[in-house]
Amino acid sequence: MVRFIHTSDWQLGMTRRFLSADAQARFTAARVDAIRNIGSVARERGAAFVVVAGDVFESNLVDRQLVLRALEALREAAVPFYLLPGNHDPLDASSVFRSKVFEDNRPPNVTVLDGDPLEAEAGVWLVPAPWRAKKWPGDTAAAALEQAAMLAGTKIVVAHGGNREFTPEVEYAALVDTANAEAAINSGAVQYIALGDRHSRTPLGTTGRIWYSGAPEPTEYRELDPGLVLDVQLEDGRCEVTPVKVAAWRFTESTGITLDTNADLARVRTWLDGLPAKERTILNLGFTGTITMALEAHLEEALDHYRSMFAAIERRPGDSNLVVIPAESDLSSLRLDGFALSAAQEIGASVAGEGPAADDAREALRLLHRLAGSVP
Amino acid sequence: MKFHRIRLTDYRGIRHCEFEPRESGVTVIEGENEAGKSSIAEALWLVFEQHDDSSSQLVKSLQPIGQDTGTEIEVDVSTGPYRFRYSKRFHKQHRTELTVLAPERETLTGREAHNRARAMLDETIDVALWKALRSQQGVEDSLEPPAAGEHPSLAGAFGEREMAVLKAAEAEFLRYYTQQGRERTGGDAVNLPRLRSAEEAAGAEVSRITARMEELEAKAQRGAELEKVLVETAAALLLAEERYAGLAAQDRARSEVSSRAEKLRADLQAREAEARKLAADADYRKKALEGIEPRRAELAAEEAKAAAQAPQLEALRQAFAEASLAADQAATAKVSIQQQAAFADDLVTLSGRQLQAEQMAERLDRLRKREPEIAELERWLADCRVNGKVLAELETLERQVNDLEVRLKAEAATVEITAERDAEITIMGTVVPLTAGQVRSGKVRGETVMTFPGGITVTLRTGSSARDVEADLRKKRELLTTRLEAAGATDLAAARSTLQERTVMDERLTQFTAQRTADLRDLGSADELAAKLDRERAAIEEILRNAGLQDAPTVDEAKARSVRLQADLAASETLRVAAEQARESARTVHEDGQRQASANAARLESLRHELDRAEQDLSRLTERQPDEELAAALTAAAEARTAAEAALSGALQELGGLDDVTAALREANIEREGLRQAQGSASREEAGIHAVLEAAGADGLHGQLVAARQQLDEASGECAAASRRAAGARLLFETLERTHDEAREGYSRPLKERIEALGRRVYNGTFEVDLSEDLSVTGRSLNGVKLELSQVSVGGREQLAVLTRLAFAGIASHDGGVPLVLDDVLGWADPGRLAAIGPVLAEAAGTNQVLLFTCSPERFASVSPARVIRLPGGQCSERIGPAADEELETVPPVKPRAAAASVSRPAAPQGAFAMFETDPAGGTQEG
Repeated sequence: MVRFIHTSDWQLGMTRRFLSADAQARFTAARVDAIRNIGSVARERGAAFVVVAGDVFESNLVDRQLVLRALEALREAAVPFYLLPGNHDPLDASSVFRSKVFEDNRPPNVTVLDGDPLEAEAGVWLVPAPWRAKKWPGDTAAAALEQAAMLAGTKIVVAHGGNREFTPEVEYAALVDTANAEAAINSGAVQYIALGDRHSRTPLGTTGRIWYSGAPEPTEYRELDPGLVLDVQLEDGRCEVTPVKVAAWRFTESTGITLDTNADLARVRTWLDGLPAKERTILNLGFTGTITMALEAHLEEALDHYRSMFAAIERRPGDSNLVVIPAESDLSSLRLDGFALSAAQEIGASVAGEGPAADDAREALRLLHRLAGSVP
Repeated sequence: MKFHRIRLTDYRGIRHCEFEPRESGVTVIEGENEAGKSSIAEALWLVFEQHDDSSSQLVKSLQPIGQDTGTEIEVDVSTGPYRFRYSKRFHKQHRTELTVLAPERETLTGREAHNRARAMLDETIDVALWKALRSQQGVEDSLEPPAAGEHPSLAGAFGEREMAVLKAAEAEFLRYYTQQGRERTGGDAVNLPRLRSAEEAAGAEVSRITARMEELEAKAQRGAELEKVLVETAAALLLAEERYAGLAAQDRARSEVSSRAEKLRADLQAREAEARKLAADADYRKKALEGIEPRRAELAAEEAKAAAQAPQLEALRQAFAEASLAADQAATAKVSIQQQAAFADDLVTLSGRQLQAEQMAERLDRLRKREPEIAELERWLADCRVNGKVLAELETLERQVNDLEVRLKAEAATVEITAERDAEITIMGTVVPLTAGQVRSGKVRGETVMTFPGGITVTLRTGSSARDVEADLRKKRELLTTRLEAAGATDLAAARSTLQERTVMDERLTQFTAQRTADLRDLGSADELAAKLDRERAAIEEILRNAGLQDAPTVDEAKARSVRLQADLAASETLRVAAEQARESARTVHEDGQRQASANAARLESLRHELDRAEQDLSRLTERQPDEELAAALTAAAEARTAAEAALSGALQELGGLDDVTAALREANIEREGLRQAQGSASREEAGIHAVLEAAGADGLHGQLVAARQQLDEASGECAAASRRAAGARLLFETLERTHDEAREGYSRPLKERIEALGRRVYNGTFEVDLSEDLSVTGRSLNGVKLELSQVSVGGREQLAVLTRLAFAGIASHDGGVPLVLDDVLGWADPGRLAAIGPVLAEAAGTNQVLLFTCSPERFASVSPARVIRLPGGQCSERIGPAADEELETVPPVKPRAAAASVSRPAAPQGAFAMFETDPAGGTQEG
């Protein structure tokens, strides 16, 4: 029997553009902390080792300080880690795994899966399919599967790449071929295939032995089941895969929020107030409705308030479902008469449309509200 | 717009007030201060302005102090097509009620009623203008007249808040743009160009890092390719090395055999050379021996031949000596005869020369004799100093002296001294004794001093003429004496004699000199002639001596002798020529013989030398290697050559059995080197790429890219936000500015026309006003005199203000304007002006509704027709007609809630106003 942790797509050094510098620093730190979490999980569950199926680093050109921090976290994790170079950090001439800082500081419990099969435990073979260049190398898993067939014992193929089932739009000639992989499992040539690339935990095929572990920390709103590692147990023809939560961060998307009245806005506030771990939550909000300028101002005010609490709040780009119109009350609240009222009405007439002219009109009207409010 | 009825209840200090102003024209509301005039004015606006539930300070202040009651305002209004009753209760049980009576009846309450009432106003009047009028008068005006230059601005027509917003919008606009609408680039302003360039710079940085990363990725890709190339090259190199090693072994084996064959070939060649050398030695020795004997025989023959030639050569030398002597003798003989022939020729000329010598002796003799005489003559002539010219001068001088003497005698004073007794006188220092009776006379010349006895001195001076003649005479005499001395003559006669003698001497000298010249001919002197004569005589003697004669022969003898000697001379010349030819012939033969002998001797010597050398050479060879040894060596060399030939042949045979792999080896080497180079090149490139990537990795490009993108996002966001705000500010300001300008344009002309129309009624037809941009009156013109507003009197300014407000009220709506409230205006107008403006007010109000509040009723006595309501009593009366001092017609006050009665209907003064009270102290007094 062998028990190990299957994880992938750490993508250390990944950045999210909507994060502020402070939030980005925490986001990055969290991904390094995840390594320690994974170590704890492995130790607690008695896993013999951890397999990282590709994309350990976001890029081969990541900051060397980050590499040092990652190696330190790996060292502290105190279980054997087997790292597979993926498409983000291929084993090419610029490979971070070949860099001086990595080689000089690599702790003894860390091994880079750079080609040949490796006996991780007595009779337990890791057969890796590392990426050697950023350019798609073809179905690397296929070669590894062939290699594994020639070995005796428990064989775990570690590979990285997409699959037609999930990314049909990609025109790569061969990703990880499901039929081929299943055939290898079914023939007993391979006992488990640890895959990386998808950030959502996903099984491939129906054997129950081919898995994408997903990323240990979420990276996108629409990932399914992210933030997990897989606890894999292989024993006597049995394979048990248990997902274990390790993520600290959350991406939450809500794009159909109805907003027409002040009461709607109050509901939004209540919902936001109720969300936990705000400093580690990234939100993407989209509103639907027709609001007055006054309500829009209240909405902006509210979002500004919550932005200081959440890691980030994004608005769905071009939130065209939310229409801002100048209501009669908007204009009457200005308490203007004469030429100024004429000007307000004229600008207000342009607000409803779309395009730069309407944007300018909205901005002008906002300004007018502000200025009129400041005049006694 | 008209107010038909106004009712206030519990409004500030007013408990209850209700009245019906005139619909058209002036209603004068009179009352003491604090009678509540201003409250009424305020309520007319406030009823439309404030919601019944307003919690504003203003509304709160309406409630009478200390009373928890509702404040009520009710007005009956007509405006445009509308006629309505509008009431509002604030505070307790607040409510709003609107009953529209025309054009269609409708009843509204609450917010709806409020909005509807406002809408009707907005529709029918210029609310802003009405509001501006309100802010200028009534509730907010002080009673003070406007200060000079601070006439109320009619820009209030645009609303103070509105103008403040316009100013604020402009300030906002100027944060981004200059006055000219260009984007600001400096100062505290929002700098759009700088934001844009910051965005561009951030974008460029992202591009730069992206490009760098792409470049590094390409390098990484190349690195991967190189790794593959290196593996392939290493395998190919291994194969090439093996092939090369095999070929090299073959080549080495063949080279060894080849090298051995080459050595054997060299050995054979050495043997052959040795044998050739020995054979050559033997041959040489043989030929040397063979050459010596013939040379010896030849030498002997040549020596014999030389010995035979010696006597012949001697005979030739002798013959040449003899011929040479004969030729010399013949030449000597010819010279001797030639000499004699010359002498003979001299003799032929001898007699002529002798005659010539005699003639020369005669000439010489003559010359010698004349020489002393000529010398004497020349000396005399040289000493003689008289000539014709000198004599003529002497004669002239003597004549002049004589003439002067005669003139002196004639012109000199004569002194005659007669002695009376004996006495001595002194004349010019000379003592002259005079006897008694003696008379002495004399001529006075120059100055004569005479001393007479008795101490008398007489000085006599000639006249000037006599003195001049006397001086002239003295000079001439002295000159004559000097000239005579120079001529060497004692007197003139002697000079004349000397001149005669000189003439004779000159003639003689001329004659002698001609003779001498003839004798000397071309010679210079007698001595030269003497020398020439001596030479000629010696030549004659020599000719005779040469001829061996004592005397000279005759000419014929001499000629015969000469002919004879010429014949002898020709003969001797013939002999001499023949002898010379013989000598030259002998010389040639002799010299030929000598050359022949010399050549023979040289040849002989050469033969001897040659022979000696050959003999020495042979003997040396033999000494070094005796002939027997040479023969033995020759034999040994031949044998060695044969052996070497055999060895070489064997080696060549062996070589022929081995393949030549040189070309294949070369090719293998080229291939190997090519692969090595490719390997080296790829290794170096890979190392370079590795170094570059390692260094780039250390740069943390990924982090840089993240930071740069972040910066770009921020810059883009900031730029977009600023641009958006700037565009909004521009749109707002420009729209406000435009609508403001349009409004101003809309007011300006009608207002000016209206003010001037009113003013011409008050003043005269020349009245004009100037309006500023903000619709302030800045000046007025009357009777052609134009004054700035500050130059107009206080009263005049107040009148202008009233006219302006009237005009304003008139243009505020299209149907008779809006109600105009005037609160104690014209306080500074002089009585005359007040009297004039009263009818104007009344007339202007003919179309407008004017509510005129005053605490000085008498000041507006001239306003007529008008309705007059007196506070607090509420007495109501009507002034009818234009006369100011006309009796007031009393009319009854309106009843509460009653419809507007006809203004002409009289009413009891006390009825309607019974409940009207004021509370100046703000207290609550019922009653």
